[in-house]
Amino acid sequence: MTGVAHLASEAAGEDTLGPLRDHLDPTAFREIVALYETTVRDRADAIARAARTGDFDMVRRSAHDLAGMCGQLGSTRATQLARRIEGACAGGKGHDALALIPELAPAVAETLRALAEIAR
Amino acid sequence: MSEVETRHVLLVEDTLPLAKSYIEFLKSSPYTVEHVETGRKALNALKRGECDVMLLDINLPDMSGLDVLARMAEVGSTCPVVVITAHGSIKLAVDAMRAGAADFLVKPFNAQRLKIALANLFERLAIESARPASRAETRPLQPAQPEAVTGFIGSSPVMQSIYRVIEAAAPSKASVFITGESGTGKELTAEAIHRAGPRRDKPIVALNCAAVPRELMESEIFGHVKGAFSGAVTDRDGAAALADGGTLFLDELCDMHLDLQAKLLRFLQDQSFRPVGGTELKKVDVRFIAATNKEPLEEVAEGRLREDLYYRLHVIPITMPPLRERQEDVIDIAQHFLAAASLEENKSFARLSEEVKAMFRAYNWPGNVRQLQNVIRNIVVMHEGETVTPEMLPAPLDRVAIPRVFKAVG
Repeated sequence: MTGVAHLASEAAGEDTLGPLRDHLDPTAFREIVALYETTVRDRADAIARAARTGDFDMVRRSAHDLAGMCGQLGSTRATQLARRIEGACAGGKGHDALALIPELAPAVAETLRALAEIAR
Repeated sequence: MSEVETRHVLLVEDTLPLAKSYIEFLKSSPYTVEHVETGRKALNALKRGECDVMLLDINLPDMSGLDVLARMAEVGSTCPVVVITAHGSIKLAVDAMRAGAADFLVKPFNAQRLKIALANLFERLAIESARPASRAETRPLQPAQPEAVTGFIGSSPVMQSIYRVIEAAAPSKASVFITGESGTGKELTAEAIHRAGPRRDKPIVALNCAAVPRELMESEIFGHVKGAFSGAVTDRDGAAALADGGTLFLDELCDMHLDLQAKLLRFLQDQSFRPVGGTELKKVDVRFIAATNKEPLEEVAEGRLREDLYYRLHVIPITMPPLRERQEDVIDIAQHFLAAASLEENKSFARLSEEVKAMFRAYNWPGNVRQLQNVIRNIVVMHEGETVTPEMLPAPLDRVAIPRVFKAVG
């Protein structure tokens, strides 16, 4: 499974980008997918940077954004990891957040790959 | 062609792709969307007053959505608010509802869910604005209108407000969601809505979702065809078919099994269903009223009530007050039950003593009106006389201290 089908299948029946594509012209749809790609990548980078400097408030905020976006895309693994990182930061457990961050990169990469396929 | 009113939505969301998605979700609908990314900008937009509804993310970069809600009064805004919250943050949504939000959406959501939330909200607002007296009105409330809202006794302000919701909701087909403790009159309210509306000549069919065994429930709602299961010896209509043209009252909705909730949701959406074992799709015209003595948001949070079903049904919410919050009605209700029970039991009880009235007012009535009714029935059956005195009270009323003023007098 690839693209929308793959993402939607992880979302327990919640179709998100599918209906959006159905009533958007192709250009507008590609623009919004591109916006997701850019912003998901940006927030994932922000988490990694902030983790290196111990800025856990930034980690928390970026993880919150990332969870919201990946959730809307139906990308379950990235969503859950981002939520756990956000929760760890909010609970003052920076060490737990740091332990989870390495797992985030492959999950985000998976989401970005799926988005790239959708955009093609 | 009917003209559809365009509504102005203020969207407060700092994550740009999400904001763009929500804007696209509403693009083909009668909504114009203004998007801002911070709480401060939202308050400025509210100050300008061009907002029919605000979609408010709880987690904003400069302040929380709860802060925005708290500061709306400062900028003179009464714009209804639907808060957007992350999955697993139902408590925040409940806090937001307590702070004045009209509804909430849990991320992620799709276009349909967003549109339903907004449509429900505007339908509810239209009904509320059609009420004869708004909540903001300060003139004294009119006395109770038992002829209009049959079956109710009580003229307390909280009940006056309930009567007005019933009267306003009755002509509509909008779904009603009644909450309240056991014995507060949820079924009576459902019946009053039905009787006061244009469906009064058609049936109201009540189904208690807690009372029917799970395996029979689908058949109870949708009926079955002959041979659908052992014991199905003939075709049988369910509540959905029996309520055609009328009202389907689903009591204790939160006790309905999740599988069946999914089927009920489909029925709610297109008013059509298949009887158990049948192939033919049946179409009906039914108004839905649901009730529960549980807290529906907690049931959603715990996964026992489908969120989308809650959204579909929660168009006109009515919260029945417990009797302890309408102490001024206790004596009127007791007198009514006393007269009725005396007549039925061929007894001569006509009044409550002042001590009993004081004890009734002081008691907290955990079983609500139903408990009061049972207490009166017990007294009438077990005793003789014209006046109810403290010695006649059954447990646990017999342990209620007589308020001091009457002890001193006695």
